[in-house]
Amino acid sequence: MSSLFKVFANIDRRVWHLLTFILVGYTLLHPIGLPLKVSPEVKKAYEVIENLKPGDVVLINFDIAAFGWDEIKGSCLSMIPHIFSREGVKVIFLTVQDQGYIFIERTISQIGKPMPGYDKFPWYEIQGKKYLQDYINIGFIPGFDKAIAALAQDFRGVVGGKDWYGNSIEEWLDKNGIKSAKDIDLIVTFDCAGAQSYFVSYWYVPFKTKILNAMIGVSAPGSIVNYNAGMLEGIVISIRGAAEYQYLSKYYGMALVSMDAFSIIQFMLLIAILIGNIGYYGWERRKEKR
Amino acid sequence: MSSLIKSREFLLAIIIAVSFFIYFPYFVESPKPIVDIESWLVTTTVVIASFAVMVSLYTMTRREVMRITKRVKGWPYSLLMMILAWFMIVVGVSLGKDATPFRFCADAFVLPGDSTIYAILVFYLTSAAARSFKVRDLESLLLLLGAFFVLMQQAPLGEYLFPYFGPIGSWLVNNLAMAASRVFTISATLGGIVLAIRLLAGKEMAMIGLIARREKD
Amino acid sequence: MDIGSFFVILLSTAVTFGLFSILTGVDNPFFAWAENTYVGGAVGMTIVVSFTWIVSNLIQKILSNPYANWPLIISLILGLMMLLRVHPKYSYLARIPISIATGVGVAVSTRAAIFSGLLYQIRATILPIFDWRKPETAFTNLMIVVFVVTIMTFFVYTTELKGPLKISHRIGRLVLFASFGALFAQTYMGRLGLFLGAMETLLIPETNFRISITVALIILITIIVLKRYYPETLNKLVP
Repeated sequence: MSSLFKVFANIDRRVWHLLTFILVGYTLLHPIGLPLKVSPEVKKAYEVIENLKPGDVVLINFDIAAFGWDEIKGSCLSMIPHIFSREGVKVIFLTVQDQGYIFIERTISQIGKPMPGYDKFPWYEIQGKKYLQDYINIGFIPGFDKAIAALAQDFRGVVGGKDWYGNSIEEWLDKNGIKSAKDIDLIVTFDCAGAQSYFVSYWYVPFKTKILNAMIGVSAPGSIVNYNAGMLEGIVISIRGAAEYQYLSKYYGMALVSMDAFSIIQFMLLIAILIGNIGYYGWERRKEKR
Repeated sequence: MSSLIKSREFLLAIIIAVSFFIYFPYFVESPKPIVDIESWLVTTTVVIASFAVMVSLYTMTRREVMRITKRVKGWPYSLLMMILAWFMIVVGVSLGKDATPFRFCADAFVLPGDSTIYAILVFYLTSAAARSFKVRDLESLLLLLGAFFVLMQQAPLGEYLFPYFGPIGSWLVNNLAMAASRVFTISATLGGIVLAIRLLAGKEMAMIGLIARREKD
Repeated sequence: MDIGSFFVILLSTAVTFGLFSILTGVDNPFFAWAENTYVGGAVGMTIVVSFTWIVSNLIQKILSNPYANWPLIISLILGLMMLLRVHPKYSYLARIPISIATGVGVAVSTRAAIFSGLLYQIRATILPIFDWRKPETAFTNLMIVVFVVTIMTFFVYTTELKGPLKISHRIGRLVLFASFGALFAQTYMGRLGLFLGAMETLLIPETNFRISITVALIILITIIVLKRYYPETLNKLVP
């Protein structure tokens, strides 16, 4: 028995590494289909988008870099089609991360298709909504927090007259009545680096602009604080939140499929902790006493 | 002239002046010239940050070239790093960021590397948790219980097996963890305000590289 | 699938598994290759994006209308002064743009944080704790207030802890440990989500799966063979 405790106390960490790979690989390829409960925060985010009215202007911020894309893409690929499904809604894409423009294009290419007569960016249509008629992409604005502050202060000045591809957007902005930050009805920010705190500071505090936030797990505590303080309308936390949103909106994707792997690995972690404790009490602690 | 520019007081005056133009229009209804100066300062900071990135390129190139010329162990990897970096810069600057070779390198090397670097942490978190989540006293028991209930709430299988994990885990996240995060947010904000005041008082000149001069003085 | 896409998948899989190879616990040339390739590519990408922004948003604006955009000329000059940081004789000139950037950066982050990070957070903690028409909400509110106050007293270092302060400090410590457990679980969820996304890219569709298995096996077998039979060669290949 004591040799078993010794084994438990001295398990090579590479065993857990290999087990993680095998379990994730197997459950991704052969999902079980466990039921999923939707949290109130995600439900609220869903309802905010569901209640968008014709003429509402939505600013979608891609604070996304490659290190967070895999975690947050589930949210992007369900929330953005949901926004585009609302009739008469106008959308402005932007990013405050230098890699963000790549992920805007990836998202658009996955949820949309090239407009008739076009075969490259930015001329894509999403749910029947066409580029430069219903949505624009102003691309990367450097400065991160300073960019968000500058946009709130002088929206048209910072955005300029051209989109990310050099097309004139002055007429589009004028036609949709977008003169300043006050004309934005909803901000949806996909965060890898905590941009929501700056949107709260520079957009919610002065203008009370509604903000929805989908973020990676590491940024969740900061967002939950602001959500509980009433400064965020809804939050979609990491891959679990993405799975819940995909379930609610019926834009199903890999986030929902990966929930089984998610559960299995979390259970594996608890078993690892349990085995570590058994090894500690059965072997290490006795060794210390001896 | 150079002694004026090198002086601590001159740099402090710049910091105080720019801080005034940033703080004042935010709290007080200001005339247009002051608001324009504020916008210009924010744009200028972004420009300065963009040029600072070029400085990092120079220092990195210098360091790696030294490693290559001195044939330090592992110098072929430094050569590879330099070749790829400069290839992407030359292609990106001359042909644009949408050029096929540039996008190829970004999709093949940068984006997968970026996501993997952070994904590796899950393995280290698992093995570290197995080794360090040992119940020795009340504090470590609470640490384990907090982690246990939230892990069970997050995993759909946990809620499926025992439905009360959901409300308990949610309560812990939305109240307990949120309270701790709120304290951290307040503390960080207070720290930031103190730093700003110290900067304006000239006590944090190390931030602009003046610490060596003060030691000589 | 065209040849370009195939090579992108092959190289990205090689970089991914090269970085994962550090999990074997053996310092190996695959990890060194992947690490240096990633760093070189990341630097190149950052420089190009910054340069593109400078050209399109600064230089083109100045050239299109220099009289109207004269403040941007000063911004450009300040940016160029930043480059003097590396000059042995004139590096002191770089302190001017650094001072401007530092002053603006600190001011921009603190001016709004006073509201969102301090006042609004304190306001959100002032909650009704005696509303017995809704006992559940009153209890939760009471717990939030107790948690915030006790955790704050845990960070009091400037006075001797005795009496109620000592009790509050102790409760705060226990609450903090429990919250660290919850925060660990959230961090783990985040990293696991990243890993699941990365694995999804590696395993789905079938072409990616076959390439991933092949590359992973080649890397693993090579590391095992080098470690066991050619340790000197392995040592030479590693930086």
